[in-house]
Amino acid sequence: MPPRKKTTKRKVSKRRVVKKKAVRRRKPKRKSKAGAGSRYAWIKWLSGAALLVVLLIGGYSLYLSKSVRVKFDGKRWAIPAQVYARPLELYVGAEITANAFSEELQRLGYRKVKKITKAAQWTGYNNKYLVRTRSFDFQDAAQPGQLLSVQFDAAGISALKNISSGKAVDLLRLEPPLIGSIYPAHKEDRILVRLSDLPEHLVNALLAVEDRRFFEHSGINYTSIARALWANVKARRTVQGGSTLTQQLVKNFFLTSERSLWRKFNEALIAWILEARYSKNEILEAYANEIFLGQDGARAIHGFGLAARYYFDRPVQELSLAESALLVGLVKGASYYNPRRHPERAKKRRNLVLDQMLKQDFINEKQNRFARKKALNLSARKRHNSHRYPAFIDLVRRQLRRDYREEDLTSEGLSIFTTLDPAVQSVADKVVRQQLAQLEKQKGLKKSSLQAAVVIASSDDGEVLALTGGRDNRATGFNRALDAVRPVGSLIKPAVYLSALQDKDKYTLVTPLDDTSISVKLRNGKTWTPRNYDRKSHGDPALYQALVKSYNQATVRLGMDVGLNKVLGTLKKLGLNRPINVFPSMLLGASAMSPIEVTQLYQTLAAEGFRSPIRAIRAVRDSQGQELQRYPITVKKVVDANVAYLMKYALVDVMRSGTGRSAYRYLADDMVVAGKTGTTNDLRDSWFAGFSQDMVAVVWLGNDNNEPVQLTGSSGGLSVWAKIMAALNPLSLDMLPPEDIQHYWVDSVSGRQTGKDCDNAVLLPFIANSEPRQHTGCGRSVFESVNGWFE
Amino acid sequence: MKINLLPGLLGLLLLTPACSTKDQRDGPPAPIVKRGVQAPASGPVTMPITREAPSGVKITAYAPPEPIPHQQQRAGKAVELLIERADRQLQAKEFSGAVSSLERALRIEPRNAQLWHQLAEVRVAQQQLSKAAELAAKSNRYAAGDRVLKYGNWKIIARAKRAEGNKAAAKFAEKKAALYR
Repeated sequence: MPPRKKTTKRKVSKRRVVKKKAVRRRKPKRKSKAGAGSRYAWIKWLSGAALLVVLLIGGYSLYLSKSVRVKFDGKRWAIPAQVYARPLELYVGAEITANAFSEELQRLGYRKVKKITKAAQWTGYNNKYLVRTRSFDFQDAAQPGQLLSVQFDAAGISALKNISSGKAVDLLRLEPPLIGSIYPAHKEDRILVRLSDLPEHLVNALLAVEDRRFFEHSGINYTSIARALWANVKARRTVQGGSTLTQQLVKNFFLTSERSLWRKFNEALIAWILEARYSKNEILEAYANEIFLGQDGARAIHGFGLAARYYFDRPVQELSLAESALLVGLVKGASYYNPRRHPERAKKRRNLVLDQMLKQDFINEKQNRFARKKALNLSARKRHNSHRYPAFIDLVRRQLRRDYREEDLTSEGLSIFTTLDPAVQSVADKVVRQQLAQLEKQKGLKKSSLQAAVVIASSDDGEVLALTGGRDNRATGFNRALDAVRPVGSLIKPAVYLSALQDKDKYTLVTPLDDTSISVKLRNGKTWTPRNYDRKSHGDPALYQALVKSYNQATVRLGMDVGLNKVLGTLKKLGLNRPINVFPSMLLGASAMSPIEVTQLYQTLAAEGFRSPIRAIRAVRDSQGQELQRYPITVKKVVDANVAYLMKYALVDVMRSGTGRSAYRYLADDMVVAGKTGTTNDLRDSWFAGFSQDMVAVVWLGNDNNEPVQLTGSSGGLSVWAKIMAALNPLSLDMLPPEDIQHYWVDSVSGRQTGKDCDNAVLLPFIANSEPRQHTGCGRSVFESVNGWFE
Repeated sequence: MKINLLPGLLGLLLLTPACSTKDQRDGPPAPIVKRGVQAPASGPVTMPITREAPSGVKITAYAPPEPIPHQQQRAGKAVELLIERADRQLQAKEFSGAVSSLERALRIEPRNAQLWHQLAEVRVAQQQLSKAAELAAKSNRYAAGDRVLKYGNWKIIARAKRAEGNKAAAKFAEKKAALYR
């Protein structure tokens, strides 16, 4: 198209201008004319300004919208990792008492009822239980919930039956109990819930009390704002909020708690944006996960998922009408209506919620009446499960840190399946509490001055069953089981003797050692003269005797003969990772270790030379249920099985006739266990480490400020250990020897073979061809005497 | 040693009483106790180390362990179920499933040599030979008189040692396996 001629335009405009000018000149200037013109101008200015404002708001909205989208769509919350204890396995023959079973059900939040109508309920009396289990998706196989009958006898579970099918059940896993979460630094804790998880009552209560027209409004409820404004004006202060659920969500989710006009404006805008971009359901779901519902010490409880656990110890799906109403009542003021601190207030508020529900036809008269009458029914534990096992969760966290970053643990919604056995943990905690108080009394120690740490693990695979970090195991704080690094004293001796026994031609259990006094020249020129506990020398005891009676002098001589580096090598094989000083004093345990490190050493001994890493975690899953990592059972043969057996045998004798024998004050006579006492200088640390067939346990007693506690390993640590073992009733050591081991009767004084009824006769194991060649002559058969002619 | 005829004949005559001393040398092994079952207190018990042993610990010569009554079969079924499941999973190459099943079984019966052996087999299938060898060694420790199991274990160990390039150890393991063929 050819360009227009510019001149034509100009001509037109000129003409127009001229025309206008002509018109203006002709008409006189009148005020009214000027007013009409400025009115237009005023309108123009106003509409211009309005346009500008709209543009500004539009632009700002776009910007907000983007950040809203980023926050809302992507990772909406930092979901802490959920930590589970071991699932309880049920099978005929399982050594679970009826008591232990009902305690586990309690832990899982099951309710005892008269008649079972849904999952997580049980009934029972005497030794027969009926329970409807929850289902759980274990990684390897889903375990569907079922109606189960469980029968007990003196030995444990005697019968297991699925009531619906009538068939016997061979094996069933209850779901693993939730024991805590690893929540992030800013201390918000939550359990994510889907909208479908929320019971209808809960949603209805929310609508009834907080936002009647939630599903209808567009984010802001003008009538409710107007009403609130009027009420506030009347009272001349803020008495009512007119916020919708959306606005409350915005307040909680995005913004801090500033209360300014600008903030209100932002809130309104964002609420609009949310409503525009997201469905009502999505907003409601977000709300249900975000709303602040309580403070547990340093931990903030956000969302109905966690609140259900925290207040009622059950999953949100199982909340009753009354319970739902209580939680919704907390929305208005979680601290003010805290049911634990202000039960009366909380009850009133709950009933108000119920009344609102009735008024708005969400429930009927009967339901309202029934629910109002109910007691608050809060969970018995003042603190949520996560505060019951802080020491163990601390261990879990540290072990996870090797493979996961802190941010992943606290925000990715992982599920951590651990090895904890809550029943064993209960026993350990209880015994520690009671026995420490008793020891303080006995020894005249200052009350609450004595501290302790306990680690209990499974002998054959190193799984941690219980961890006690201190006398009050519910308190967070110094985790002595992991961090109290103390000289181990005589606990080190098995490593010395094991090193010697590995040279089977030179040392057997009956090899005489020299227990006379010894002075060792140290590298710094000084001399070290270790003394026996009783200040005496004991001549030349047999090797096993020196260990059993824990003679220092004989041990140091032996250790110096064997070589310090060899002893260090043995310690490393047993699982010691910490570097220690290779000085002669290491032979008597001057080296410091933590209780969990000692547990690793004794686990290898308990498993007869097969080391399994001490482990608290079995598996990790992501928020979708996909398995991220497994920590399988691993074993490593680090000590010859025959030598390990000799050591085990000697450690059993420690308990029968050595420094560990006072354990039998608490243990049954026919319970065979092995162990070692450990006492340090000036009686500052009192250790005991020992094992049964299935469990290895280490106990440390001492003072945080390192003052002497006047307790030896026998009088202190051992008493705690033995009481724990007596309560757990673990399996007795079966003492099955390996192939190359043979037992002989020997004379403990001369070291020669002897008859079983002769003086000083003891039955000892020997690696084939290492047994003593000579005989005392006592108790020998004629044939043997004859044979002796040919030697 | 040179045997003079007379002492030799005397020796032969006295062979019978000598048999009893032989038992003492082998030592009394304890009854094999399965997890979940307590050994009955009346059975033969080892652990007679000192004469001053507290009462209740009997010092006896070797006697074959009494079969533990119905209690022995108690834990059996659950473990059997898991063994079967692990077998199926191994066949279907669901290795982590097989490991899970066997670990579950091991928590019920940690001293069951069969379970440790099967776990070793899974590791072999996964080409994790050194892990397999350790598990096979552990199985051997609890295998007692089970020749079939011991054979299998030593074969696994031999295979692992060969893969490592440790010829001497592989040879030793093969020799051990041959003992149980």
